[in-house]
Parts: sequence; structure tokens; C-alpha cells
Amino acid sequence: MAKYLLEIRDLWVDAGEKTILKGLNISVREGESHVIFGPNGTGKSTLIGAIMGLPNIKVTKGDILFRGKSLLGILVDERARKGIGIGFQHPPAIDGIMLRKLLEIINSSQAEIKRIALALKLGRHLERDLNKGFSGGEVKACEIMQLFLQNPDLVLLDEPDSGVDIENIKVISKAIRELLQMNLPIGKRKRSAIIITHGGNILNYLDTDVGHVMIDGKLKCGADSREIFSKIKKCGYRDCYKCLSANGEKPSGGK
Amino acid sequence: MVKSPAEGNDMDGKLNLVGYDSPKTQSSGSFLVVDDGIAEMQSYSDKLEILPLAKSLEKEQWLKEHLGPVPKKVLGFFVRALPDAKIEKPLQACFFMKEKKAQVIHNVFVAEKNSQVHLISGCTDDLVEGKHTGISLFFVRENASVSVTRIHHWSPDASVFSKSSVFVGKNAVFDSNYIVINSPKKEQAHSIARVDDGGAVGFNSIIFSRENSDFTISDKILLEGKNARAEIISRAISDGGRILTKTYMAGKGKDTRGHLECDGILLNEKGSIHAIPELEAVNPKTNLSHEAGIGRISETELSYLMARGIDEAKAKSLIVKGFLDAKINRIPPNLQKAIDELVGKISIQA
Repeated sequence: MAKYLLEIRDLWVDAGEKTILKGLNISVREGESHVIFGPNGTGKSTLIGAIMGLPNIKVTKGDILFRGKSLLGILVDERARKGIGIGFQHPPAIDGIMLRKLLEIINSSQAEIKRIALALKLGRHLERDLNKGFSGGEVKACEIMQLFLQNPDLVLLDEPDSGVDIENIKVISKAIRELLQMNLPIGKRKRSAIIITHGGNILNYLDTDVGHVMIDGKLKCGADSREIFSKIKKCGYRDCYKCLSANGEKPSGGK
Repeated sequence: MVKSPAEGNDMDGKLNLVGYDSPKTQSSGSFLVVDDGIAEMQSYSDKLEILPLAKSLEKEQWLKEHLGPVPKKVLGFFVRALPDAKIEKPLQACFFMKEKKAQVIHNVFVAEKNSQVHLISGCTDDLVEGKHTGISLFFVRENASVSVTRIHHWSPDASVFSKSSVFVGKNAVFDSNYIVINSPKKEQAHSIARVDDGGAVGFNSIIFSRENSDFTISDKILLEGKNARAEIISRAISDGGRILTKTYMAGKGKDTRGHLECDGILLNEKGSIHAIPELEAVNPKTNLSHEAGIGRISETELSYLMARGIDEAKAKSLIVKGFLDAKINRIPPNLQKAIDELVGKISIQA
């Protein structure tokens, strides 16, 4: 049994023509939820894309290990079947693909589909085309719903709270809590997660373990996620740069 | 030519593929042409007349100016839905080329005042290098409503020419679905509709063009009367074939409205899709719009579905099926299997 569910070592990644990640490290144990903060455009989504194996994201150096085995060269669908699930930041709306039909392909349990749809207030959206005309909050809820049905071991959430109003943040974060087994004490949880957040509002409702700040294509800090968030809320990312230059680089990783 | 099991000699199987399969209780009438003869002709409704066109031409002199010159032994149907007839079950018709290499069909379909009627018409063959010509006239009288679904399923080396003229009367409705499952070497399909006051026309087409196939579809709608409306939706999929879609709408009458949409997906680099949407406003009180989009299967959509654990071939077929399903929702349920067959083929090739 590998020590970590996910282990990323010295990862260098190009997105398009640009090198975005420059020697990134992160290790995630079973049951741990990690939060990645960082200014826009620093490569948070690129990291998630590299783990999932999305197109136009190219690993040029380093490795991504899932249960001790490299994911490099493995297609997106196979990574999903290995137990990695993603909640996209900007999921597409697809004509003619009814939401219910997609959910049935992901998971054939009608009872489970119904239960999760009701919990996420998407009961009336099941017969509609995927994400077509959904509000910002509904699109995000729909991502969480699919993750529930997919039942992955590692959940990657890319900005699950962006564009979601305050009422729906409660609905979505309640579902994420259930998805990530946050009602259990740390140590008893089985499912792991990497959550990307720019604004961080969702952290008011979640009980996460480790926080990181992404700067210059690397993860820094590696401390308690709420502590980092409260500092960022107070001073913005300016102070992260200050702190880093004062203390030298502190490698990022699990506890 | 070596035939695959799916393209075997089974005539019933061939007819099934183009919608001529319902038990007789599921249709209001049937009309089957095999090569150059009428093999079946029956109406199951006293409100629906079905005759050989050759016979009715003697009586219906007015048709001559519309039909122009026709062969002495003109082949095809004359169908008339009587005034006020509400015929729920569709009339099924099929034109099959079994042995003879050329088939010329003339059909006339009349929906009298206040009638409602549906037609499912299939064209198919079981030979090498057949030539099919189909000329159709539709007269949709005042306040009548007609839906027509035409399905084409050809051998790869067939050539096909079809021309339909539609006359849509006051407050009448004409809806057409044109579905090409197996495209021939060459097909040209022309349709023109003239729409009177308050009338409405919908032309929907699904064209699947395989390699070495050259397909032209041309849809024209002339909104002549006041308040006439129209919609053209064209969905083209090239799996190596060339597709030209020409769509034209003219707003001639006052307060006319029309919208046309032509979209295409190129499954590989061998084929091409050329869309020419045209709008012409003659009356200042017309309102016409169009949108067109052609491209490959969206990588974003594909990787989104694959991220749910769906393999590439299945994800592609879901997207293509979605592309076909979107908005073309008047396809009769019993034709769903024709669409499914089409999508099934795509998933194999993906």
C-alpha cells in the first residue's frame, strides 16, 4: 500500500506554449483534503488538469503517482475509472445530452440519482440538457452531483464556489461536506480532495486539513488551511510574497 | 459488390430501415413501389385516398401545370386527405430499387382544408449503381397540417436526385424531416416551399455523409403571405464525404418571420462541409435570422464526458447523438431506431 494516495514530485507542466508549473510538489494521504489558494492565473487549474489528464496540458518533467503508480500517459477516462473525479470550474453545456441520461451512465442507481438531485435542488433539471441555461450555482451543484454518483477516491474541485450566491453556497458546501465525509473526524475519512479556491468563501463551511498557496508555479506554505485563508483575507496575496522572501522557500506537502 | 450482413438481401430488413415496418394497425395507409411497379397500395382510413398517380392524372387536370411533362407510365402516388380529416396514424410509403437500375417517381400529396395528416416515406435500394429520381408535390390547403419524414438509405454507388415543391395555404402547417442515414455516391435534394398568409413551414434535415459521397441539400422557403413563418434546421455530419447545404429564406409578406440554423460536425479530415445560409428581406416588415456553426467535435465536451469515466468512442457518440437530437424533436418515435443506427455507426468509427 502506498503511503500517499496522490504524490506529485517535481512537476513541470506546459499549458499551450507557456510553462505554468515549475517543479511543484504535493502529497495527499487517504482522507485528507487540501486547499490551494492563489492569485488568478498562477496555475491552480493547470495542476488539476494535469492530475486529471485534460488535453492541452503537457507534463514535461516530474511525475504524478496515484496509489504509487504513475498516471502519465493514461487517458482521462481511465484516470476517472481509477478513482479520480473532477468538478470543473467552467463545465460545458452540451446540446441534446439530457442530464438524467448522463447521470445514468455514470451510476445506474435511480434511487441515488433522485436522492442527490433533491439534496442539491436539481430535481427539476434532470430532464434538461446538460448545463443548458443553468445558473452559476446550478452548474456547480451539477458537478458535485456527478461526483457523488461517480464515487471517486480523490476529488478535484476547481473553484466550487465561484459564481455561486450565498444561499446556494450553503447547499453546495453541505453536499461537499457529505461527499468528503467531513462529518467524520479527521483520520476516519476515506475520501481525499484537492480544492482550489480563489475567494475562499467556501472554507467557512468546510473542514479541510492542509492549505497551500500557489505562487510562481509552485506550492508554498503547507499550513493549516483556515490560518492561511484568514491571513489572505486580511492582507491579500502580497503578504505571501513578503513572507516567502523573508523566510526563504518552505517546501509544500502533507502534514 | 460484397455485402455486409447488415446490408443483406433481405427486402423487409431494408424497408424496416427506412420506416416501412409498422404493423398495418400502426398506419393509416401504405404505398410500396418496387423497381417500376406498385407492390402495395392500401388505405386504412376512409378519410385518406391513395391512388396511382397515373390513374388520378386523368381526373386531376389541374396537376398538369404543376407537374410539367411526365412519362406516359408515370409512377408514384396521388394521396388526398379529405377536408376536416384528422388522421393520427401515419401513411407509410416506400420506394425500393431491387433490380432495375433506374427509378423515376412522381408523387402528389394533397391535404385538404382543415385536415391533419402524417407521411413517412423511405427510399432505399439493394443493387449496384442505381439511379433514383423523386419528384414530389405537396399541397397543404387552408388550415391543414402535414408532417413528412423522409428517410434515405442508399448503397454507396447510387445516385439520387430529388425535388419537392410545397404549397402551404392560409394558416396551414408543413413540417418536414429529411434524414439521410447512408449517403449515396451523389445526392441532390432540393426543396422549395411557398407559404401563404399565416402559414408555417419547418424544414429539418440530418445528413450523414460517408467517404466518397457528395451530397447537396438545398432548402428554399418563400414567405409570401402576411404573418407567414418558417424555420430551417440543418444538421450535417461528414464522415469523409462532402456536404453542401444551401438554405435560403425570403421574407416577402408583411410581418413574416424566419430563422435558419445550419450546423455541421466533421468527424475526420477526409470530408468537407460547406454551408451557405442566405436570407433575403423584400418586405421591410419581415424578420429573418440565421446561425451557422461547423467544426470538429468539441475537445472540451469530449474531455468533460471522458472525465466521468466514459470512453472516447462512447463520449463521441453521445455528443453526436446530442447534436442530432437537439431541436429535431418531431421525429416519429418509430424512426428513433434509424437515428440510433446512424449514431451506432459513428460510435464504431470513433
